[in-house]
Amino acid sequence: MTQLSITTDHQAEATVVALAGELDLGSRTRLQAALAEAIEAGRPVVVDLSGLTFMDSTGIAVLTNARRAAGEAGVPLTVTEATGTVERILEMTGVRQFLSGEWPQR
Amino acid sequence: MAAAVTATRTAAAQLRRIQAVTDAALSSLDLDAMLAELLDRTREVLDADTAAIMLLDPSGTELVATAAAGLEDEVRLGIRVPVGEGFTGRIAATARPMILDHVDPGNVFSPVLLDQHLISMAGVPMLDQDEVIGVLYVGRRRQGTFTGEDVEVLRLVADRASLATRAQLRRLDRAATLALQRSLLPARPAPLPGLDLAARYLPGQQVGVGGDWYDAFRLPSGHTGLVIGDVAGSGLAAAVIMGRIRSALRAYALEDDDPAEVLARLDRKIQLFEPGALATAAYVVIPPAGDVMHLSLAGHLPPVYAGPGAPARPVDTRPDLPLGVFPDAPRRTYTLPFPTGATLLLYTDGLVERRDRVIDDGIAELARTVAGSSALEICNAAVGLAGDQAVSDDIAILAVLRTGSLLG
Repeated sequence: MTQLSITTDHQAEATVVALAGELDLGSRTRLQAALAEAIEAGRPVVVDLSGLTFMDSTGIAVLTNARRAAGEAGVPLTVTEATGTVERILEMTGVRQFLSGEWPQR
Repeated sequence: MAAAVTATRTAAAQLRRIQAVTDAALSSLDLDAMLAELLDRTREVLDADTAAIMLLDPSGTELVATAAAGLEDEVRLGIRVPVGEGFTGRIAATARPMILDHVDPGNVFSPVLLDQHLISMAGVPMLDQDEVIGVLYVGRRRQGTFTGEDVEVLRLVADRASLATRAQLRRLDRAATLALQRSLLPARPAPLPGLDLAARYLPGQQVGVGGDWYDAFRLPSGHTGLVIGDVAGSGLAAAVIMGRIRSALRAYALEDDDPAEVLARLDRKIQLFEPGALATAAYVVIPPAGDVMHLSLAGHLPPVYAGPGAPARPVDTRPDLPLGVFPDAPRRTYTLPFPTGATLLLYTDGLVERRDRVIDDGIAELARTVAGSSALEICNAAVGLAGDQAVSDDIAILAVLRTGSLLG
């Protein structure tokens, strides 16, 4: 099992949270904390999934909850660069468009 | 000098007594008796009048008096302290030890501490890795402040108590989850005219019993409802939410025959009453007349369908958002054929999700595997897929074979 790596980059216009490895129940708490911190920073949040190789329904829950929390805080949050199996999971659980920002955020 | 050496030896002996209690108790089932004994000895070792433990409740916002020596009223009265308030509440909030030289209404929350005329107190957090699960604290009715050494002893006791408490809570959690799951998921669905049904629930190797469920029922309108769903998370928390979602879906099913409308109402309920919860579900309604079924997917994987004598394949549908994600998300109902001789397999992601392949491959493999002349055979074939490798997530399966008219 590959551990999830989380890298937060505070850029001028956005806070980029890059994920790599596998996202499941074991890494939920760490990711929740990292995303909460990124939202707290107040700049738009971009969650980059390009390094992510696996995600289960726990991951979907963390990402959709973060998007909602961001919406409530008035901070735009978009999830980008999902590939392969992760992109298919987002597609098959109906959340891809919602997370990629093609939905109104409220 | 001699007196100091003797005192040190005595302290060491006392510490060994504490360790002896906890080591023996870790393997025993009776947590209450172990904590009572532990607190009694802690009181002796630290020359304190009271020793007590408060544990964080499942909401994580309040401490609840759980065990006490010399402070039994706190437990008897079920004293609760908000995290962040009073002496124990501040220890829980900061995860740091605290010593109090003078107890007064301004710095403690529990009225029992004042009633007991405590003057000085010391407390430490009980930790599970880095998370606070409770607070251990001692008090004296006379002057004489607690020292840093006393706090070190408390830390040791707290470590032991945390270990035992955690082990016990996990045992209870597992037992309660299993009992709940068994009560909600009958091994054999009630027979329905015109349909042959079989279902299976398999706990996951990594998550244990979780939030997957299935359901099958006949409504007064003559419509038949078939459900499969998956609440994200694991253990008792997920199973409890599953139980509520499952019965809410039944209630909304009584009000409306359109699957998308039922899921929309269920979603609204979850948004309001289960904030933060996420569930996927597939809901199928088979009308009493005709050869069709109506299907709506809330973030759920496509069911596998086989027409009479035809190969099985995933139904061609697009899922709407899972439940609990976004208020008033649009939802669709698909109408698909479901004649006599057709089979439908509803399943949760644990059956087809593997770390080393795209999920579509898993679903395709499932479609190839699913064959049989009865719901039980189909169910067994699907379970076989899970059997050949380590499955980390839990799995629910509901297999349906249409045998004739539903009007029976």
